[in-house]
Amino acid sequence: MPDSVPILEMRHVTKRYRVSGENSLIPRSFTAVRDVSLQVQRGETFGIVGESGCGKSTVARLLMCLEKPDEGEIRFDGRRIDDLPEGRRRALRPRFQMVFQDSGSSLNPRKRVRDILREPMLRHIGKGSEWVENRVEELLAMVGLPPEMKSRYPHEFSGGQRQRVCIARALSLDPDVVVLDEPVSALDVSVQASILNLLRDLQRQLGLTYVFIGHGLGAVRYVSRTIAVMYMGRIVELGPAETLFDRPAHPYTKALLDAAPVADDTLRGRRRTLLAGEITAAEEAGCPLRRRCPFAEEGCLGVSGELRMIGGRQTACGRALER
Amino acid sequence: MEPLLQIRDLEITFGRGPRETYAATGVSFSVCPGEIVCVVGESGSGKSVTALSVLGLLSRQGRVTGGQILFDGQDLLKMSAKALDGLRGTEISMIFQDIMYSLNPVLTIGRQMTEGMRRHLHLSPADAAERAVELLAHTGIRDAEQVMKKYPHMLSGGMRQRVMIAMALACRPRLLIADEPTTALDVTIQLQIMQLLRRLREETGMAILLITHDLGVAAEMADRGVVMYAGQCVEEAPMHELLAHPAHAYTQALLQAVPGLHDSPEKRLYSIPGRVPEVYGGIAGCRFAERCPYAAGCKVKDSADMRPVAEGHLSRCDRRKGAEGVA
Amino acid sequence: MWKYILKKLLLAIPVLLGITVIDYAIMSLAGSPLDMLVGPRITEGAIAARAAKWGLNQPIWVQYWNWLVEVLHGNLGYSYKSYQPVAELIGSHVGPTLLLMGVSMALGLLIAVPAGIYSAVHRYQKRDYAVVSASFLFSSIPGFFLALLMIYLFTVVLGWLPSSGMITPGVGGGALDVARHLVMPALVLALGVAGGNIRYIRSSVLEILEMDYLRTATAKGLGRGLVIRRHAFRNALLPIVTVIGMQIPTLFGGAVIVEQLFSWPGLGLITMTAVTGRDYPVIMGVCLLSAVVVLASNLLTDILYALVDPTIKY
Repeated sequence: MPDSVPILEMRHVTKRYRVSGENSLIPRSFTAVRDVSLQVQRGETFGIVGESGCGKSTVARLLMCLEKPDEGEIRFDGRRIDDLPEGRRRALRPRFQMVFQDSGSSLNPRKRVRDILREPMLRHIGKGSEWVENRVEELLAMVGLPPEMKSRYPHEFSGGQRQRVCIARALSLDPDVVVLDEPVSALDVSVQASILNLLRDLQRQLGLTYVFIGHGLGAVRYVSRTIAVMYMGRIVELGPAETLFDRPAHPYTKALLDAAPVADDTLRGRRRTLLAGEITAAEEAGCPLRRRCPFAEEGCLGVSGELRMIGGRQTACGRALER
Repeated sequence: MEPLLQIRDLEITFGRGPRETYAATGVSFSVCPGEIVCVVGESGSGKSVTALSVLGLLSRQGRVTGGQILFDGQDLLKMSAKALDGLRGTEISMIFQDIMYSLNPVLTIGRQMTEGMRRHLHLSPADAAERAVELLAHTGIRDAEQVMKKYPHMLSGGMRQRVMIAMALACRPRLLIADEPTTALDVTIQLQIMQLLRRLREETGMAILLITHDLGVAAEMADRGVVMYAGQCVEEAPMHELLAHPAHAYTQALLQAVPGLHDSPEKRLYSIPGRVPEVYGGIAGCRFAERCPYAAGCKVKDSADMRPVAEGHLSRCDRRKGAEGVA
Repeated sequence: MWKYILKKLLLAIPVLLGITVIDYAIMSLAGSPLDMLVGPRITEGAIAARAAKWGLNQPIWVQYWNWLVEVLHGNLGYSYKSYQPVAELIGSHVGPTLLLMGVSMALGLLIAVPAGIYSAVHRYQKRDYAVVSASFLFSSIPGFFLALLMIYLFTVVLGWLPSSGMITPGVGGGALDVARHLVMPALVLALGVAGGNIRYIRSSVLEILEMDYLRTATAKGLGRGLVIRRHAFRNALLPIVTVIGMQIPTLFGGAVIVEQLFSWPGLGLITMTAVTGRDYPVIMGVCLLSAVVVLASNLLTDILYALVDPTIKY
């Protein structure tokens, strides 16, 4: 049951980038995100999956207002934020924070953990240094790190521990929303599990809202209530996690699920939806998957890519469900 | 069947003097002709250095300090550099995780494809080029002739990996060592590459030693699996056995830590407490003990050797349902 | 490729103009040639007349503009001192400078590239330390000191090499004679740049030696020799091109000093005289030339990069 107003929302957002022309002096444009609309409800996790080049990282940056959309709107708590002047946007910053994939490069190697965690608080909250010190220890405890760690440097930690520090930093300003861009992709299996558990626990404890972006389907499934599948800049399917994973409607979703390696070798020879070839160059007309899709027909050339409700979720194509 | 590759008691050390550490100790397993064996482990398990040591590719600081690597009965560690060069690319080939620079960025694909063939098979440039085009097409690259003239940065990750595979197959090796070949690829491309490798095994009968951290990839590919932890093998079994009836506590923990695609929302992933030990040369007995849920009361903690727990199934401890821990 | 070159050329023009503006400004700030004329027997009227004749009574930007217009008509002006056309003056002296620069660069590369590669391949061994120490030595010794040392050793003590000029008077020139005069100045210049270049090449090659593609090549059984020669070295061309590009402007400037020390009849001589005498037209002539040389060498480097590095699109 959706809340009255989604805490984060994108409406028909398109983002293009200038790419220098290869054979001419005129730059071309590349559409990274095309007509994307989504709603994130307060307190839940919204997962976005897709392979490289699908635009999910761009979506993350747009949500965080690190980029401006060329078309469409981004709303936070019902109010537009993409067209705010810099000062007003900065005031809103503490309410949505981000965690990145590469913890090694998102932590300043020359700063101790204590200073890394203090920095956002000193900037945005005007409390005294004693309060901040206590909060640093509190944050470390929240993410399962002993308080002594605060005087260490990032390179003294393992990948998993560094990611915990990044999470602690994101939580330091008591945000409403945390956008996580592939937070566990670079971690070992067992470490991944502990970080995923931590994220889940923190969400329950603090009532956080997550936007979880990843390419590991299992990991995204574990934390997300709603999932959007992206391909070549568009959302091709969006709906409740179980519905998507158990009964995928869009051929791309099905292909992704079939391709995901599963630790069960009885599934080895199973019938799968296979995509031919690789990602093709962007085309203007029709479904972007049609050159690779096993269910493609002539009619696919005229498809608009609009999402419609089928079987309890939104999708651009329902072929996989029919077969 | 006589194994094609036998690794016996392999010990690999890094660093010198006071900073010497073990990367692998007592590693033993075999690969039979035509078999696909997967070595599974997390970072620091020693799986990559084990694979690299077969062809003598350890970086400057790493060296083999004990054990044997037998190929066709011959110890590769005792071979001269020249003799080893004779084996590399011909009898045994290797492909790597293709991050940016596994292929030389300033040489064309054609050049890199043909140089091995010209050296080992003494083919003329024209013949080698022809064969290269055939190999590329065989691995699923369309427009193989065009690709020959291109440079690596012009190809996608999936295509580069196909090129590496084609290159590795050029001289018809009997063993292919693949070090995390699909880790850097998108999941749909990953599937294509895995299916390609399996198809090539069917066609040529070559054996594959696949290194991976992904149990799903191992499940998809392997006939037999070897699990490594902290520089040691901890379990070895036919893949089906390993997944259905894992014996070692670590293998079990690993399987429970992987989030599945259809898990119920209430399921909680098992997260192994603690961390992989950084230095384990000095640890006697079981290296997993400090993180193991069965540690209290464990009878094999001090002397966890690899023992048979079932037909073709070895493990350092037996935690299958109903077992007591001792094999 | 032509579009690439055209683009670069078009960008170079405003840069060239900008350089000449800055040069002119600095030159004017350094002092006026009229100051050189002041003396007990020169009247103010005479100075004023001279100022009017040379156009020095006008504001700087007007002076610059006049100069620029003349240059665009192909006229570089006349020296204040000798009344010789600047173009002629420069033209007759540029040859020896280019010869010196060319030989020094070749020599510098011949020293730096093999030394840098050798050092990298034998990293952390004694030979590596020896080469690196030598390179520090070369970069630290001031050019004039090295020049004096060499003159002392090779001319005074051993009597092998002449210490000044380009040809032996009376002998009339000839390649061998010029070569004997060229050895020391070229060596001084070359050793000066070689120091830094050795270390740069060394660290570039060290990076290359860590690359994954060398491991792939070894795994194909190509043998160490082929792996280094074909796979590593081919990548080393990039830093070498960088070194070439960086050297040309350095050598041009360094040549001015070395030419003084060895009385080499190149641009160095006339430049120094022009600067101390505040001979504006000559100074600007040399500045223009050096700007063109530097920009041309940048363009050359860009072209070489595009040829050597396939990841550059053109």
